[in-house]
Amino acid sequence: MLKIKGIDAYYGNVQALKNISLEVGPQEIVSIIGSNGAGKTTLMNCIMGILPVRKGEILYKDRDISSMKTHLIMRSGIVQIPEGREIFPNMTVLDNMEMGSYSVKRSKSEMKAKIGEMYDLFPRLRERKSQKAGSLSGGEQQMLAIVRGLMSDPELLMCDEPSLGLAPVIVDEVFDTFVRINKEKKMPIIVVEQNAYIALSISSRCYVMENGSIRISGSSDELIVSDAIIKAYLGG
Amino acid sequence: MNAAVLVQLLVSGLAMGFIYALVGIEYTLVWNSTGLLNFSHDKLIMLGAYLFGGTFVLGMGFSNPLAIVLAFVIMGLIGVLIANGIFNPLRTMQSMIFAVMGTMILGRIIKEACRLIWGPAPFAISGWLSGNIRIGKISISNANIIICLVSLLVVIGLQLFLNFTKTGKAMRCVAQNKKAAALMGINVTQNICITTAVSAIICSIIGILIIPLFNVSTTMSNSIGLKGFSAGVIGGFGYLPGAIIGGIIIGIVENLAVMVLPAVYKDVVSFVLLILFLLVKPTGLLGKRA
Repeated sequence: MLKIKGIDAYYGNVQALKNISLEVGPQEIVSIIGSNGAGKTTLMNCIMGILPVRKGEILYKDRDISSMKTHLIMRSGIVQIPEGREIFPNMTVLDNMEMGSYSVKRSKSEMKAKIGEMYDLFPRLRERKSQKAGSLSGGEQQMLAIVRGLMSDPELLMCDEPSLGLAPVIVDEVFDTFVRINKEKKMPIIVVEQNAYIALSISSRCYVMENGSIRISGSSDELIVSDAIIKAYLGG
Repeated sequence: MNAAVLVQLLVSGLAMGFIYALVGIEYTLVWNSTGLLNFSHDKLIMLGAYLFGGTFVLGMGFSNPLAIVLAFVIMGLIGVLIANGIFNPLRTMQSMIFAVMGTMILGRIIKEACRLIWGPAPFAISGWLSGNIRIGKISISNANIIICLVSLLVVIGLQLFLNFTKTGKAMRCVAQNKKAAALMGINVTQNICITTAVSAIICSIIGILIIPLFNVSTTMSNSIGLKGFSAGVIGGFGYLPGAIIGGIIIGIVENLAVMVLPAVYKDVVSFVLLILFLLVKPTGLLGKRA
């Protein structure tokens, strides 16, 4: 579905990504783990066209999207739930959700059904629907960000650091939801995480990033028991 | 000093206040959308007045409503040009000074172009928003009443547009977070064009409304441009209701000041207010963010 072939990216003159290649197949959950500053978010930004790619190509459904504008990439079906949630704080929860489906034309009844479907995913948002999004707790904001991303019925979901700053109970709830979405909608998901254990436990394959390049890749079941991963990322 | 004079001063102050509020709103729209201060907008106000009065009414002899619509269309297009020519290319540069210089120079260009096209002599448009209403001893000019009503309509219309239409909500998204807006599939560049067009149309509304007060000249909007900026600061920069409150406060205070101060100091009052607010409460009356 998504095929990244040897991309390089720079912030000014500083190289942030070195020859990254990666692949996401239909219906699978792929995780990208690594420490702070490894380039995970940079990679997400490159896929979405927020940061230009200097070398290599990003193929989505066999089409090179590496020089497309962000909103067009989004409209072609890739949705990124950005790190730090980036919800619209001065808008209500409901407005935030509606903005998530900005790119989709829906009738009023279709919109209502879609929003209802989202409330079923995270019932807590229903109680908060007319509250300003900025007044929500961190966990609720993350739920809103996920729901906002799902509103446009993406074909590929990318979630950047969903566990950041959340209580462990809520982290579990969020990741359970990813597994559920993946199963029910057959939606491929990329999860970028510092929390290696939870990322490995829900994904089928995993890429480990370090200093802007991919160090290790393989099936999550194998990586979760490998010595190198346990030492570096699982606190072994 | 009698009550009739006080009421008259209050009404004309309120009318000027609404004008400042519109200018402040226009600053705020562009500031929120692009993160830039548009220092050419007082010249856009003047350009709107020249297009309406100089070209469509006096030049081509169109009826007033048709001239207004045509002025809106042309100003909207000019707004799109400014967005594509200045705001979008310059807003991502390392310093916002580039774009601010760009808008200042644009203001110069518009002013000199007006002088070349329509000549240096100020002119009036006879019969446009003229006349008075008398209630007992109180005499209020029609222009002031129409300014208040039209400004109210613009303010209400803008609020409805920003809160209930898809494009308006997208404009608010772009103002709050450009990256997240793009991730929602909003074309940020195009959205900035729309915002700038809306703000240019508001400029032409202001320009057309103030013709009976200042006539049409290249300097007609100099002071209201700066006072509208003060309105934004006093109310709380970047917050639309703040711009409205700030504008009305400046309009009324400077008009009432005439009762105690010599009339030549009228313009001083609003800038003293501006400096006081910058010193004491730089976030403005309704501003939340520092």
